Amino acid sequence: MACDDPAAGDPGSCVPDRIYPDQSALSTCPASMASMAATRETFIEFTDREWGRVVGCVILAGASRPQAEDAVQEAFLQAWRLIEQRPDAWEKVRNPRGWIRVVALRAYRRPPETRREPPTMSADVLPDLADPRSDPAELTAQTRDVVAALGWLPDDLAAVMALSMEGFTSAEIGEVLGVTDQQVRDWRKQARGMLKRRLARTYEQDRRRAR
Amino acid sequence: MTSSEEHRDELTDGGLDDLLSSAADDVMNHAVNTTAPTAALLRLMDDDASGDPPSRGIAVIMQRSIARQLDRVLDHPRAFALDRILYHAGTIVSGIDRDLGFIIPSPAFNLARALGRASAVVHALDRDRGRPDLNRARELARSFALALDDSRDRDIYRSVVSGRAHDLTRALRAARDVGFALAVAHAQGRGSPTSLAVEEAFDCARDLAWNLGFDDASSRDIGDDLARALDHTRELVRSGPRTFPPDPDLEPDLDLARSLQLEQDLIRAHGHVRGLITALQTATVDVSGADLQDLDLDLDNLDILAGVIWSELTRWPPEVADEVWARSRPIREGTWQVMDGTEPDSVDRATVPG
Repeated sequence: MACDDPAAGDPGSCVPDRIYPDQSALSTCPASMASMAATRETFIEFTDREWGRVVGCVILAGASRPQAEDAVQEAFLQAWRLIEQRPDAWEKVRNPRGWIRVVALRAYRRPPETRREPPTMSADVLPDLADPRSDPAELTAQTRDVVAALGWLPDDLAAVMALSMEGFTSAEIGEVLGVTDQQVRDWRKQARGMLKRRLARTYEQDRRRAR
Repeated sequence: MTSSEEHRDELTDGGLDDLLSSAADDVMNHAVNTTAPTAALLRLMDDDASGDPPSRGIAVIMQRSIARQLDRVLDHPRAFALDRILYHAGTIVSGIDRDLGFIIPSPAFNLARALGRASAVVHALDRDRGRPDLNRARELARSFALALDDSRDRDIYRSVVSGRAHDLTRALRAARDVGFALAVAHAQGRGSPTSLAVEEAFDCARDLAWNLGFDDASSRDIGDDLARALDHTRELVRSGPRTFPPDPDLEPDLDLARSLQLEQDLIRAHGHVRGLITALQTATVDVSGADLQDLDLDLDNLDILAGVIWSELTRWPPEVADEVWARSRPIREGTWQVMDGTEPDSVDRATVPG
């Protein structure tokens, strides 16, 4: 996997060296065949369709809402720069949905340290005036428990769980993460065990308090 | 399954699947319905964005100036009134949104988000304090309990000693959360002294004080922050028994909790401003042929012109024209570039248009 650093100066370094043979409008629109304007329109459609879901994916990997938005913003900018500067490299990305999620997840994991801070009180309590529609309080308490538990998973396990919860198969996840299907299944099993223990403990605490 | 009731004794595979599925639906619906691709990203791709370079160049120069003002203000936030900070912030954010989004969207939006958060804190300082949210306090306290539990598992003291400041930072933020939860829960507890939230928050705070009660924290990079949060938590624990009388004075707790958050927001905003200045300074600015005579430039602050490309047709304000010439060197026939003020003067004055 070549895409270790989504913020690297050379966007070409962010091309997964193994790609999933997904048929996507983007991947079937090479810059050599279509005008830049058409590519741009296709990318905008892709952005409109995927942006919110990628934010959700990064949240499911343990990010707070602002952290997820920062990471997703970086990922889409990275994609666009790749299209502009290295269209041949972008052509090789056969699974843009998986690619953009992996880039966003890695942007979230990457320093600065703030990227790895867990959700804080301010993100929940204080409104974000930059986007008044985004109120994490709209999530149910149960969802917040699950997201908090996901946030304690090691990075690889969290990525596997986030992508799995979005419906990606083990094969797809393995391809975009650059690992084998078996490794994905092992990580998922390990993650599920950790989640069961943590969530069970959360609800046991609830039960004790309710007595 | 949607209720935690069913998961209390043992979480089965099916139960976990249900929880994960429900959470995924909830998060995705929320994220999709509350986000939209940023306008700046789309402007970045706008074919028309490359038009009129001189106008964009002027905008970059002005934003450099404003960003530096904001940088100075945020360097010493306590020396300035909040409204002045927010005035500069509002000016720069709106200017970036209007003129520069297509050039540097990422820093601009990070800045907007950080400053939006700072604005929210200012609003929070003034909002009605008589409507605390008990459920929210309870959720925060439970999140804190989870964080604390994890810290115990990892042996936070050992983590600190081995330089793993991340765990400590997490605990610090948890401490701030619970401090705020305590303040809110206290307020709510006026009429309900047996409130679960209050009891829970107190238990958490006691555990925190016990877990983090080591002496050498102040010698660490984040020791000061930790000590402050710890002292605050301890104080809240000490004052616990006194919070149940009919009329507890909660204002200091609320102010402290909020000011801690405001400080952090301003520090974060400052970081974004620094990034913005870097982005602005490295952006290519070409004002060849532009009439800049009305531009408000200060002789003491001409560093903002570093890197600017100009031509013999460019018209500078008379009061700075000589200095701009002195700082410039020719890069091709009829075109000059302003050098960084720290570089040696390499200008052949004879080559500069007068």
